[in-house]
Amino acid sequence: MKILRIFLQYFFIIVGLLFFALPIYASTIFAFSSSEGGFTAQPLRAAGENEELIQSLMLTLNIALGTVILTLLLLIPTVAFIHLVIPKSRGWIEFLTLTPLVIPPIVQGVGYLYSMPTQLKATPYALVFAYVILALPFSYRAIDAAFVSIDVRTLYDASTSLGASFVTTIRKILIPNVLTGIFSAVFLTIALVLGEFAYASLLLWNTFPTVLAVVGASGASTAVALSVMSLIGVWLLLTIITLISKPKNKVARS
Amino acid sequence: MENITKEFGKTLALNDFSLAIPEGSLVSLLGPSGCGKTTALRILAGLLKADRGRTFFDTLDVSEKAASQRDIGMVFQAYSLFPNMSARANVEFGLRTRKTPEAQIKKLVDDIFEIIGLSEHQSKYPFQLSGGQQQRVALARAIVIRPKVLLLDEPLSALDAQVRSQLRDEIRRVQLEFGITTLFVTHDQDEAMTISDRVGVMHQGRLMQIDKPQLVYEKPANPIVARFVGAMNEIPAQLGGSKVTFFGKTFEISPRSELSNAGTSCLALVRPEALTLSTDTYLGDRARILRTSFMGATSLVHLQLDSAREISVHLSAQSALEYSVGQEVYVQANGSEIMVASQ
Repeated sequence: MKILRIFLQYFFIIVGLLFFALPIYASTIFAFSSSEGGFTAQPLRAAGENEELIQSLMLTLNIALGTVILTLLLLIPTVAFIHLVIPKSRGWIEFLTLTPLVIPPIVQGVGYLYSMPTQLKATPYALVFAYVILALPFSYRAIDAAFVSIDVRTLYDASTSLGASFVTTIRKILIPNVLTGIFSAVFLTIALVLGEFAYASLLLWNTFPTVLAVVGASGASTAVALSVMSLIGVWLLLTIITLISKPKNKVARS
Repeated sequence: MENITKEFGKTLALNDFSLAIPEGSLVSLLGPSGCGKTTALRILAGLLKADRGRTFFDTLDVSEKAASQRDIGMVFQAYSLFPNMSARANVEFGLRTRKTPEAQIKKLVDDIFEIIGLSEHQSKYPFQLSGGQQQRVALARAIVIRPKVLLLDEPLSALDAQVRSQLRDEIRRVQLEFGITTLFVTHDQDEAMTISDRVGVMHQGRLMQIDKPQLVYEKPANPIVARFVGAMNEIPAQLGGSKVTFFGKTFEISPRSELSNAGTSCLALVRPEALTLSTDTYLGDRARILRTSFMGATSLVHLQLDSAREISVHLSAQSALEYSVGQEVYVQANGSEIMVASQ
Protein backbone atom coordinates (compact mmCIF):
# COMPACT_ATOMS: atom_id res chain seq x y z
CA MET A 1 0.00 0.00 0.00
CA LYS A 2 2.75 2.35 1.02
CA ILE A 3 4.69 1.72 -2.15
CA LEU A 4 1.58 2.34 -4.21
CA ARG A 5 1.02 5.63 -2.43
CA ILE A 6 4.58 6.78 -3.00
CA PHE A 7 4.35 5.70 -6.63
CA LEU A 8 1.13 7.66 -7.13
CA GLN A 9 2.63 10.71 -5.47
CA TYR A 10 5.61 10.76 -7.79
CA PHE A 11 3.45 9.88 -10.78
CA PHE A 12 1.25 12.94 -10.30
CA ILE A 13 4.18 15.22 -9.56
CA ILE A 14 5.91 14.11 -12.77
CA VAL A 15 2.74 14.41 -14.86
CA GLY A 16 2.20 17.88 -13.42
CA LEU A 17 5.74 18.96 -14.20
CA LEU A 18 5.51 17.62 -17.74
CA PHE A 19 2.24 19.46 -18.26
CA PHE A 20 3.99 22.75 -17.58
CA ALA A 21 7.44 21.98 -18.92
CA LEU A 22 6.62 20.39 -22.27
CA PRO A 23 5.03 23.43 -23.94
CA ILE A 24 7.91 25.64 -22.77
CA TYR A 25 10.41 23.09 -24.02
CA ALA A 26 8.64 22.78 -27.37
CA SER A 27 8.45 26.58 -27.75
CA THR A 28 12.14 26.94 -26.98
CA ILE A 29 13.07 24.29 -29.54
CA PHE A 30 10.75 25.85 -32.12
CA ALA A 31 11.99 29.39 -31.56
CA PHE A 32 15.70 28.80 -31.47
CA SER A 33 16.16 25.98 -34.01
CA SER A 34 18.06 26.99 -37.06
CA SER A 35 16.90 25.76 -40.49
CA GLU A 36 20.45 24.46 -41.08
CA GLY A 37 20.24 22.32 -37.92
CA GLY A 38 21.51 23.28 -34.46
CA PHE A 39 20.42 26.38 -32.57
CA THR A 40 20.52 30.07 -33.38
CA ALA A 41 19.86 33.37 -31.58
CA GLN A 42 18.67 34.91 -34.85
CA PRO A 43 15.01 35.45 -33.70
CA LEU A 44 16.19 37.48 -30.72
CA ARG A 45 18.54 39.53 -32.87
CA ALA A 46 15.66 40.23 -35.24
CA ALA A 47 13.59 41.37 -32.29
CA GLY A 48 16.41 43.63 -31.10
CA GLU A 49 16.46 45.34 -34.47
CA ASN A 50 12.71 45.86 -34.46
CA GLU A 51 12.36 49.45 -33.31
CA GLU A 52 8.62 49.23 -32.71
CA LEU A 53 8.98 46.15 -30.53
CA ILE A 54 11.60 47.81 -28.30
CA GLN A 55 9.49 50.94 -27.96
CA SER A 56 6.40 48.93 -27.04
CA LEU A 57 8.41 46.99 -24.46
CA MET A 58 9.58 50.23 -22.84
CA LEU A 59 6.01 51.55 -22.86
CA THR A 60 4.68 48.36 -21.26
CA LEU A 61 7.38 48.46 -18.58
CA ASN A 62 6.46 52.09 -17.81
CA ILE A 63 2.79 51.18 -17.63
CA ALA A 64 3.68 48.28 -15.33
CA LEU A 65 5.60 50.65 -13.06
CA GLY A 66 2.69 53.10 -12.96
CA THR A 67 0.24 50.29 -12.26
CA VAL A 68 2.35 48.96 -9.41
CA ILE A 69 2.74 52.38 -7.78
CA LEU A 70 -0.94 53.24 -8.05
CA THR A 71 -1.96 49.77 -6.83
CA LEU A 72 0.22 50.00 -3.72
CA LEU A 73 -0.79 53.58 -2.93
CA LEU A 74 -4.43 52.58 -3.14
CA LEU A 75 -4.39 49.14 -1.62
CA ILE A 76 -2.11 49.34 1.43
CA PRO A 77 -4.05 52.05 3.27
CA THR A 78 -7.35 50.59 2.08
CA VAL A 79 -6.63 47.07 3.27
CA ALA A 80 -5.28 48.43 6.56
CA PHE A 81 -8.49 50.43 6.95
CA ILE A 82 -10.65 47.40 6.16
CA HIS A 83 -8.83 45.25 8.72
CA LEU A 84 -8.95 47.92 11.41
CA VAL A 85 -12.33 49.54 10.97
CA ILE A 86 -14.64 47.27 9.00
CA PRO A 87 -13.21 43.75 9.42
CA LYS A 88 -16.68 42.24 9.11
CA SER A 89 -17.01 43.51 5.53
CA ARG A 90 -13.93 41.65 4.35
CA GLY A 91 -15.97 38.93 2.68
CA TRP A 92 -17.97 41.36 0.61
CA ILE A 93 -15.01 43.46 -0.38
CA GLU A 94 -13.09 40.40 -1.44
CA PHE A 95 -16.06 39.40 -3.57
CA LEU A 96 -16.19 42.87 -5.13
CA THR A 97 -12.53 42.68 -6.11
CA LEU A 98 -13.40 39.64 -8.21
CA THR A 99 -15.72 41.55 -10.54
CA PRO A 100 -12.97 42.44 -13.06
CA LEU A 101 -12.72 38.71 -13.75
CA VAL A 102 -16.37 38.36 -14.70
CA ILE A 103 -17.05 41.59 -16.59
CA PRO A 104 -15.99 41.12 -20.23
CA PRO A 105 -13.06 43.31 -21.37
CA ILE A 106 -15.17 44.87 -24.12
CA VAL A 107 -17.63 46.19 -21.55
CA GLN A 108 -14.92 47.47 -19.28
CA GLY A 109 -12.90 48.86 -22.16
CA VAL A 110 -15.78 50.89 -23.54
CA GLY A 111 -16.61 51.93 -19.99
CA TYR A 112 -13.11 53.33 -19.56
CA LEU A 113 -13.29 55.18 -22.86
CA TYR A 114 -16.44 56.91 -21.69
CA SER A 115 -15.34 57.67 -18.16
CA MET A 116 -11.77 58.83 -18.82
CA PRO A 117 -11.08 62.57 -19.00
CA THR A 118 -10.09 63.58 -22.53
CA GLN A 119 -6.50 64.45 -21.64
CA LEU A 120 -5.95 60.93 -20.30
CA LYS A 121 -7.66 59.26 -23.26
CA ALA A 122 -4.95 60.64 -25.48
CA THR A 123 -2.13 58.78 -23.72
CA PRO A 124 -1.45 55.05 -23.38
CA TYR A 125 -1.04 55.62 -19.62
CA ALA A 126 -4.83 55.56 -19.42
CA LEU A 127 -4.23 51.82 -19.40
CA VAL A 128 -2.69 52.16 -15.92
CA PHE A 129 -6.14 52.78 -14.46
CA ALA A 130 -7.62 49.84 -16.32
CA TYR A 131 -4.79 47.57 -15.20
CA VAL A 132 -5.01 48.59 -11.54
CA ILE A 133 -8.58 47.33 -11.57
CA LEU A 134 -7.82 44.33 -13.72
CA ALA A 135 -5.07 43.27 -11.30
CA LEU A 136 -7.28 43.82 -8.27
CA PRO A 137 -8.39 40.18 -7.82
CA PHE A 138 -4.72 39.21 -7.45
CA SER A 139 -3.14 42.24 -5.81
CA TYR A 140 -5.91 42.67 -3.24
CA ARG A 141 -5.76 39.03 -2.23
CA ALA A 142 -1.99 39.01 -1.89
CA ILE A 143 -1.98 42.05 0.40
CA ASP A 144 -5.08 40.97 2.30
CA ALA A 145 -3.55 37.56 3.01
CA ALA A 146 -0.44 39.22 4.44
CA PHE A 147 -2.56 41.39 6.71
CA VAL A 148 -4.47 38.33 7.89
CA SER A 149 -1.21 36.73 8.99
CA ILE A 150 -0.39 39.53 11.44
CA ASP A 151 -2.40 40.85 14.36
CA VAL A 152 -3.18 44.21 12.73
CA ARG A 153 -5.42 45.43 15.53
CA THR A 154 -2.91 44.86 18.33
CA LEU A 155 0.06 46.18 16.35
CA TYR A 156 -1.91 49.27 15.41
CA ASP A 157 -3.12 49.86 18.98
CA ALA A 158 0.40 49.35 20.33
CA SER A 159 1.81 51.80 17.82
CA THR A 160 -0.79 54.53 18.41
CA SER A 161 -0.58 54.08 22.18
CA LEU A 162 3.12 54.91 21.80
CA GLY A 163 2.23 58.16 20.07
CA ALA A 164 2.58 57.21 16.40
CA SER A 165 0.19 58.64 13.78
CA PHE A 166 -1.76 56.56 11.24
CA VAL A 167 0.79 57.28 8.51
CA THR A 168 3.78 56.47 10.74
CA THR A 169 2.10 53.26 11.85
CA ILE A 170 1.50 52.17 8.26
CA ARG A 171 5.02 53.12 7.19
CA LYS A 172 7.05 51.78 10.08
CA ILE A 173 4.95 48.98 11.53
CA LEU A 174 2.43 47.58 9.06
CA ILE A 175 4.32 47.74 5.74
CA PRO A 176 7.50 46.03 7.03
CA ASN A 177 5.37 43.21 8.39
CA VAL A 178 3.37 42.60 5.21
CA LEU A 179 6.30 42.93 2.77
CA THR A 180 5.86 39.39 1.48
CA GLY A 181 2.31 40.15 0.46
CA ILE A 182 3.34 43.45 -1.10
CA PHE A 183 6.04 41.72 -3.15
CA SER A 184 3.54 39.11 -4.36
CA ALA A 185 1.11 41.85 -5.33
CA VAL A 186 3.86 43.69 -7.22
CA PHE A 187 4.95 40.57 -9.02
CA LEU A 188 1.45 39.49 -9.99
CA THR A 189 0.63 42.98 -11.22
CA ILE A 190 3.78 43.17 -13.37
CA ALA A 191 3.11 39.71 -14.79
CA LEU A 192 -0.43 40.74 -15.66
CA VAL A 193 0.59 43.97 -17.38
CA LEU A 194 3.36 42.24 -19.36
CA GLY A 195 0.84 39.82 -20.83
CA GLU A 196 -2.34 41.90 -21.10
CA PHE A 197 -3.64 41.93 -24.65
CA ALA A 198 -7.40 42.52 -24.71
CA TYR A 199 -7.57 46.07 -23.31
CA ALA A 200 -4.52 47.37 -25.13
CA SER A 201 -5.83 45.97 -28.37
CA LEU A 202 -9.37 47.29 -27.80
CA LEU A 203 -8.12 50.73 -26.91
CA LEU A 204 -5.69 50.67 -29.85
CA TRP A 205 -2.40 51.10 -28.01
CA ASN A 206 0.82 49.48 -29.13
CA THR A 207 1.93 47.75 -25.97
CA PHE A 208 4.35 44.84 -25.94
CA PRO A 209 1.72 42.09 -26.17
CA THR A 210 -0.16 43.75 -29.06
CA VAL A 211 3.02 44.39 -31.04
CA LEU A 212 4.14 40.86 -30.28
CA ALA A 213 0.93 39.58 -31.83
CA VAL A 214 1.60 41.59 -34.99
CA VAL A 215 5.20 40.38 -35.15
CA GLY A 216 4.00 36.84 -34.58
CA ALA A 217 1.74 37.06 -37.60
CA SER A 218 4.73 37.70 -39.89
CA GLY A 219 7.46 35.65 -38.23
CA ALA A 220 6.37 33.09 -35.71
CA SER A 221 9.81 32.20 -34.36
CA THR A 222 10.59 35.76 -33.22
CA ALA A 223 7.28 36.02 -31.34
CA VAL A 224 7.72 32.65 -29.68
CA ALA A 225 11.36 33.45 -28.81
CA LEU A 226 10.23 36.67 -27.12
CA SER A 227 7.47 34.86 -25.27
CA VAL A 228 9.97 32.36 -23.96
CA MET A 229 12.31 35.19 -22.97
CA SER A 230 9.59 37.10 -21.14
CA LEU A 231 8.56 33.90 -19.40
CA ILE A 232 12.14 33.41 -18.22
CA GLY A 233 12.26 37.05 -17.16
CA VAL A 234 9.13 36.64 -15.06
CA TRP A 235 10.54 33.47 -13.50
CA LEU A 236 13.74 35.29 -12.60
CA LEU A 237 11.69 38.09 -11.06
CA LEU A 238 9.75 35.55 -9.03
CA THR A 239 12.93 33.90 -7.79
CA ILE A 240 14.51 37.20 -6.81
CA ILE A 241 11.38 38.31 -4.99
CA THR A 242 11.12 35.01 -3.14
CA LEU A 243 14.74 35.29 -2.05
CA ILE A 244 14.69 38.90 -0.86
CA SER A 245 11.24 38.79 0.69
CA LYS A 246 11.96 35.77 2.88
CA PRO A 247 11.60 37.38 6.32
CA LYS A 248 14.40 36.85 8.79
CA ASN A 249 12.12 35.39 11.41
CA LYS A 250 10.74 32.67 9.16
CA VAL A 251 14.25 31.44 8.47
CA ALA A 252 15.27 31.23 12.10
CA ARG A 253 12.02 29.78 13.31
CA SER A 254 12.27 26.58 11.28
CA MET B 1 -13.72 58.44 33.99
CA GLU B 2 -17.13 59.96 34.55
CA ASN B 3 -20.52 58.48 33.66
CA ILE B 4 -19.23 56.58 30.66
CA THR B 5 -21.78 54.74 28.55
CA LYS B 6 -20.87 52.62 25.55
CA GLU B 7 -23.05 50.42 23.39
CA PHE B 8 -22.04 47.86 20.78
CA GLY B 9 -25.14 47.35 18.67
CA LYS B 10 -27.74 46.31 21.20
CA THR B 11 -25.29 45.28 23.93
CA LEU B 12 -24.63 47.79 26.64
CA ALA B 13 -20.92 47.32 27.32
CA LEU B 14 -20.62 50.14 29.86
CA ASN B 15 -23.57 51.53 31.75
CA ASP B 16 -23.01 54.89 33.46
CA PHE B 17 -19.54 53.78 34.49
CA SER B 18 -17.37 56.01 36.67
CA LEU B 19 -13.90 55.26 37.92
CA ALA B 20 -11.22 57.33 39.64
CA ILE B 21 -7.64 56.10 39.81
CA PRO B 22 -5.63 57.96 42.47
CA GLU B 23 -2.28 59.21 41.17
CA GLY B 24 0.52 56.70 41.51
CA SER B 25 -1.73 53.81 42.53
CA LEU B 26 -2.56 50.54 40.85
CA VAL B 27 -6.26 49.86 40.36
CA SER B 28 -7.55 46.58 38.97
CA LEU B 29 -10.78 45.98 37.15
CA LEU B 30 -11.94 42.46 37.79
CA GLY B 31 -14.83 40.68 36.17
CA PRO B 32 -15.91 37.82 33.94
CA SER B 33 -15.39 38.15 30.20
CA GLY B 34 -17.96 40.45 28.64
CA CYS B 35 -18.41 42.55 31.79
CA GLY B 36 -17.04 45.65 30.07
CA LYS B 37 -13.64 45.90 31.73
CA THR B 38 -11.64 45.87 28.51
CA THR B 39 -14.06 48.38 26.99
CA ALA B 40 -13.41 50.69 29.95
CA LEU B 41 -9.66 50.36 29.45
CA ARG B 42 -9.87 50.99 25.72
CA ILE B 43 -11.97 54.11 26.28
CA LEU B 44 -9.46 55.34 28.82
CA ALA B 45 -6.71 54.65 26.27
CA GLY B 46 -8.54 56.54 23.52
CA LEU B 47 -8.75 53.45 21.33
CA LEU B 48 -12.54 53.53 21.63
CA LYS B 49 -14.89 56.48 21.83
CA ALA B 50 -17.53 56.57 24.53
CA ASP B 51 -21.14 57.22 23.53
CA ARG B 52 -21.59 59.42 26.60
CA GLY B 53 -19.41 60.55 29.48
CA ARG B 54 -15.99 62.16 29.81
CA THR B 55 -12.47 61.02 30.53
CA PHE B 56 -9.97 63.12 32.51
CA PHE B 57 -6.25 62.86 33.24
CA ASP B 58 -5.98 64.93 36.40
CA THR B 59 -8.18 67.87 35.50
CA LEU B 60 -7.43 67.71 31.78
CA ASP B 61 -10.38 66.53 29.67
CA VAL B 62 -8.93 64.04 27.17
CA SER B 63 -12.27 62.70 25.89
CA GLU B 64 -11.74 64.06 22.40
CA LYS B 65 -8.06 63.17 22.13
CA ALA B 66 -6.80 60.24 20.07
CA ALA B 67 -4.78 57.51 21.75
CA SER B 68 -1.59 58.83 20.18
CA GLN B 69 -2.03 62.18 21.96
CA ARG B 70 -2.99 60.92 25.40
CA ASP B 71 0.45 60.05 26.75
CA ILE B 72 -0.36 56.50 27.80
CA GLY B 73 1.60 53.28 27.97
CA MET B 74 -0.15 50.05 27.21
CA VAL B 75 0.55 46.33 27.49
CA PHE B 76 -1.78 43.99 25.64
CA GLN B 77 -3.03 40.47 26.15
CA ALA B 78 -1.77 39.35 22.74
CA TYR B 79 1.95 39.60 22.05
CA SER B 80 2.22 43.06 20.62
CA LEU B 81 5.93 43.61 19.97
CA PHE B 82 6.60 44.80 16.43
CA PRO B 83 7.91 41.65 14.69
CA ASN B 84 10.12 43.63 12.31
CA MET B 85 12.10 45.32 15.11
CA SER B 86 14.55 44.06 17.69
CA ALA B 87 13.60 44.23 21.36
CA ARG B 88 15.63 47.40 21.71
CA ALA B 89 14.08 49.06 18.66
CA ASN B 90 10.66 48.20 20.07
CA VAL B 91 11.45 49.96 23.32
CA GLU B 92 12.95 52.94 21.46
CA PHE B 93 9.88 53.34 19.24
CA GLY B 94 7.80 55.45 21.64
CA LEU B 95 10.77 57.69 22.44
CA ARG B 96 11.48 58.24 18.75
CA THR B 97 7.89 59.23 17.98
CA ARG B 98 8.32 61.77 20.80
CA LYS B 99 11.53 63.02 19.15
CA THR B 100 13.57 62.42 22.30
CA PRO B 101 17.26 63.34 21.82
CA GLU B 102 19.42 60.36 20.84
CA ALA B 103 21.66 60.49 23.93
CA GLN B 104 18.67 60.48 26.20
CA ILE B 105 17.08 57.57 24.31
CA LYS B 106 20.23 55.55 24.85
CA LYS B 107 20.28 56.19 28.57
CA LEU B 108 16.58 55.60 29.15
CA VAL B 109 16.55 52.38 27.13
CA ASP B 110 19.74 51.04 28.75
CA ASP B 111 18.23 51.72 32.18
CA ILE B 112 14.90 50.10 31.45
CA PHE B 113 16.52 46.93 30.09
CA GLU B 114 18.56 46.83 33.28
CA ILE B 115 15.39 47.11 35.35
CA ILE B 116 13.53 44.33 33.56
CA GLY B 117 16.69 42.22 33.51
CA LEU B 118 16.85 41.65 29.78
CA SER B 119 20.00 43.60 28.88
CA GLU B 120 21.45 40.50 27.20
CA HIS B 121 18.47 40.12 24.90
CA GLN B 122 18.20 43.67 23.52
CA SER B 123 19.23 42.79 19.99
CA LYS B 124 16.95 39.77 19.71
CA TYR B 125 13.80 39.82 17.62
CA PRO B 126 10.43 39.09 19.25
CA PHE B 127 10.23 35.58 17.78
CA GLN B 128 13.51 34.74 19.54
CA LEU B 129 12.10 35.67 22.95
CA SER B 130 9.88 33.56 25.20
CA GLY B 131 6.35 34.70 25.96
CA GLY B 132 7.36 36.04 29.36
CA GLN B 133 10.32 37.92 27.92
CA GLN B 134 8.13 39.41 25.19
CA GLN B 135 5.67 40.72 27.75
CA ARG B 136 8.53 42.15 29.82
CA VAL B 137 9.83 43.99 26.77
CA ALA B 138 6.27 45.17 26.09
CA LEU B 139 6.13 46.46 29.67
CA ALA B 140 9.47 48.21 29.22
CA ARG B 141 8.23 49.74 25.95
CA ALA B 142 5.14 51.06 27.74
CA ILE B 143 6.90 52.61 30.73
CA VAL B 144 10.08 53.93 29.11
CA ILE B 145 8.07 56.87 27.80
CA ARG B 146 7.04 57.73 31.38
CA PRO B 147 3.33 57.76 30.55
CA LYS B 148 0.74 59.55 32.64
CA VAL B 149 -1.26 56.34 32.83
CA LEU B 150 -0.14 52.74 32.35
CA LEU B 151 -2.84 50.46 30.98
CA LEU B 152 -2.48 46.71 31.33
CA ASP B 153 -4.99 44.66 29.35
CA GLU B 154 -4.74 41.11 30.75
CA PRO B 155 -1.00 41.08 30.04
CA LEU B 156 -0.46 37.79 31.86
CA SER B 157 -3.22 35.62 30.51
CA ALA B 158 -1.20 34.13 27.65
CA LEU B 159 1.60 32.99 29.98
CA ASP B 160 2.01 29.79 31.98
CA ALA B 161 1.50 29.79 35.74
CA GLN B 162 5.07 30.20 36.96
CA VAL B 163 6.04 32.96 34.54
CA ARG B 164 2.72 34.61 35.26
CA SER B 165 3.31 35.02 39.00
CA GLN B 166 6.89 36.20 38.38
CA LEU B 167 5.81 38.84 35.91
CA ARG B 168 2.90 39.82 38.12
CA ASP B 169 5.28 40.68 40.95
CA GLU B 170 7.59 42.41 38.50
CA ILE B 171 4.77 44.62 37.22
CA ARG B 172 4.02 45.67 40.79
CA ARG B 173 7.71 46.31 41.56
CA VAL B 174 8.23 48.47 38.47
CA GLN B 175 4.92 50.27 38.99
CA LEU B 176 5.91 51.22 42.54
CA GLU B 177 9.44 52.13 41.48
CA PHE B 178 8.21 54.58 38.87
CA GLY B 179 5.07 55.58 40.75
CA ILE B 180 2.98 55.25 37.60
CA THR B 181 -0.79 55.54 37.81
CA THR B 182 -1.92 52.15 36.54
CA LEU B 183 -5.12 50.44 35.46
CA PHE B 184 -4.92 46.67 35.33
CA VAL B 185 -7.68 44.67 33.70
CA THR B 186 -7.99 40.98 34.46
CA HIS B 187 -10.43 38.13 34.98
CA ASP B 188 -8.01 36.44 37.39
CA GLN B 189 -8.82 37.26 41.03
CA ASP B 190 -5.44 36.18 42.39
CA GLU B 191 -3.71 38.61 40.03
CA ALA B 192 -6.00 41.44 40.97
CA MET B 193 -5.90 40.73 44.69
CA THR B 194 -2.14 40.35 45.01
CA ILE B 195 -0.86 43.45 43.22
CA SER B 196 -3.57 46.09 43.47
CA ASP B 197 -4.04 49.03 45.78
CA ARG B 198 -7.71 48.85 44.95
CA VAL B 199 -9.85 46.31 43.13
CA GLY B 200 -12.95 47.20 41.16
CA VAL B 201 -15.41 44.39 40.51
CA MET B 202 -17.46 44.76 37.33
CA HIS B 203 -20.69 43.11 36.32
CA GLN B 204 -22.70 43.76 33.14
CA GLY B 205 -21.08 47.11 32.40
CA ARG B 206 -21.36 48.46 35.92
CA LEU B 207 -18.83 48.89 38.68
CA MET B 208 -20.27 46.89 41.60
CA GLN B 209 -17.66 47.77 44.18
CA ILE B 210 -14.22 49.34 44.35
CA ASP B 211 -12.19 48.88 47.48
CA LYS B 212 -8.99 47.55 48.98
CA PRO B 213 -8.54 43.88 48.00
CA GLN B 214 -9.12 42.69 51.55
CA LEU B 215 -12.38 44.63 51.89
CA VAL B 216 -13.69 43.34 48.57
CA TYR B 217 -13.15 39.83 49.88
CA GLU B 218 -14.34 40.33 53.45
CA LYS B 219 -17.08 42.87 52.94
CA PRO B 220 -18.43 42.37 49.44
CA ALA B 221 -20.93 45.07 48.52
CA ASN B 222 -23.55 42.64 47.30
CA PRO B 223 -24.10 38.94 46.57
CA ILE B 224 -22.81 39.34 42.99
CA VAL B 225 -19.41 40.49 44.21
CA ALA B 226 -19.46 37.93 47.02
CA ARG B 227 -20.04 35.09 44.58
CA PHE B 228 -17.49 36.31 42.06
CA VAL B 229 -14.60 37.02 44.40
CA GLY B 230 -13.19 33.98 46.15
CA ALA B 231 -14.96 30.69 46.77
CA MET B 232 -18.45 30.93 48.20
CA ASN B 233 -20.81 28.29 49.58
CA GLU B 234 -24.50 28.73 48.96
CA ILE B 235 -26.40 27.09 51.76
CA PRO B 236 -30.23 26.85 51.89
CA ALA B 237 -31.47 28.77 54.94
CA GLN B 238 -34.68 29.96 56.60
CA LEU B 239 -35.54 33.61 57.02
CA GLY B 240 -37.18 34.99 60.12
CA GLY B 241 -37.41 38.76 60.53
CA SER B 242 -33.93 40.23 60.40
CA LYS B 243 -32.36 36.86 61.09
CA VAL B 244 -31.40 33.80 59.10
CA THR B 245 -31.17 30.23 60.34
CA PHE B 246 -29.14 27.34 58.95
CA PHE B 247 -26.99 24.49 60.27
CA GLY B 248 -28.89 24.78 63.56
CA LYS B 249 -27.76 28.32 64.31
CA THR B 250 -29.27 31.77 63.84
CA PHE B 251 -27.39 34.80 62.49
CA GLU B 252 -27.97 38.47 61.81
CA ILE B 253 -28.58 39.25 58.13
CA SER B 254 -25.92 41.47 56.56
CA PRO B 255 -27.32 44.80 55.33
CA ARG B 256 -25.55 44.23 52.01
CA SER B 257 -27.76 41.25 51.24
CA GLU B 258 -30.18 41.25 48.35
CA LEU B 259 -33.60 39.68 48.65
CA SER B 260 -35.95 40.17 45.76
CA ASN B 261 -38.75 37.78 46.75
CA ALA B 262 -40.13 37.90 50.26
CA GLY B 263 -40.33 34.16 50.90
CA THR B 264 -39.15 32.36 54.00
CA SER B 265 -36.29 30.54 52.36
CA CYS B 266 -33.07 31.96 50.92
CA LEU B 267 -29.42 31.13 50.31
CA ALA B 268 -26.81 31.95 52.92
CA LEU B 269 -23.46 32.92 51.37
CA VAL B 270 -20.64 31.56 53.50
CA ARG B 271 -16.90 31.39 52.75
CA PRO B 272 -15.27 27.94 53.07
CA GLU B 273 -13.05 29.21 55.89
CA ALA B 274 -16.10 30.29 57.91
CA LEU B 275 -17.28 26.69 58.26
CA THR B 276 -16.03 24.10 60.74
CA LEU B 277 -16.29 20.33 60.87
CA SER B 278 -16.66 17.96 63.78
CA THR B 279 -17.26 14.23 64.17
CA ASP B 280 -18.03 13.28 67.72
CA THR B 281 -20.72 15.73 68.75
CA TYR B 282 -24.01 16.53 67.13
CA LEU B 283 -23.14 20.09 66.06
CA GLY B 284 -24.74 21.51 62.93
CA ASP B 285 -25.98 19.57 59.91
CA ARG B 286 -24.89 16.14 58.79
CA ALA B 287 -22.76 15.85 55.66
CA ARG B 288 -20.63 13.24 53.91
CA ILE B 289 -17.07 13.88 52.73
CA LEU B 290 -16.75 13.57 48.96
CA ARG B 291 -13.08 14.36 48.44
CA THR B 292 -10.22 16.50 49.72
CA SER B 293 -8.12 18.86 47.61
CA PHE B 294 -4.65 19.36 49.06
CA MET B 295 -3.41 22.92 48.46
CA GLY B 296 -0.18 23.13 50.44
CA ALA B 297 -0.70 24.76 53.81
CA THR B 298 -4.43 24.24 53.61
CA SER B 299 -6.86 21.72 52.20
CA LEU B 300 -10.29 22.18 50.75
CA VAL B 301 -12.72 19.50 51.92
CA HIS B 302 -15.73 18.92 49.66
CA LEU B 303 -18.91 17.77 51.37
CA GLN B 304 -22.37 16.69 50.36
CA LEU B 305 -25.24 17.76 52.60
CA ASP B 306 -28.27 15.54 53.17
CA SER B 307 -30.10 17.82 50.74
CA ALA B 308 -27.57 16.63 48.07
CA ARG B 309 -26.11 20.15 47.83
CA GLU B 310 -22.31 20.29 47.68
CA ILE B 311 -20.29 22.68 49.80
CA SER B 312 -16.62 23.06 50.66
CA VAL B 313 -14.73 23.78 53.87
CA HIS B 314 -11.24 25.22 54.22
CA LEU B 315 -9.12 23.44 56.83
CA SER B 316 -5.44 23.43 57.65
CA ALA B 317 -3.77 20.58 55.81
CA GLN B 318 -3.03 18.99 59.20
CA SER B 319 -6.62 18.90 60.44
CA ALA B 320 -7.91 17.75 57.06
CA LEU B 321 -5.92 14.55 57.60
CA GLU B 322 -8.32 13.62 60.39
CA TYR B 323 -11.08 13.03 57.89
CA SER B 324 -11.45 10.41 55.21
CA VAL B 325 -13.59 10.16 52.10
CA GLY B 326 -17.10 8.84 52.75
CA GLN B 327 -16.99 9.74 56.45
CA GLU B 328 -20.02 11.33 58.14
CA VAL B 329 -19.32 14.71 59.71
CA TYR B 330 -21.25 17.64 61.13
CA VAL B 331 -20.81 21.08 59.68
CA GLN B 332 -21.41 24.42 61.33
CA ALA B 333 -20.94 28.09 60.50
CA ASN B 334 -19.10 30.78 62.49
CA GLY B 335 -19.40 34.54 62.51
CA SER B 336 -22.02 37.04 63.45
CA GLU B 337 -23.38 38.44 60.19
CA ILE B 338 -24.33 36.42 57.18
CA MET B 339 -25.02 37.67 53.68
CA VAL B 340 -28.05 36.13 52.05
CA ALA B 341 -29.42 36.09 48.54
CA SER B 342 -32.67 35.02 46.94
CA GLN B 343 -32.87 31.44 45.83
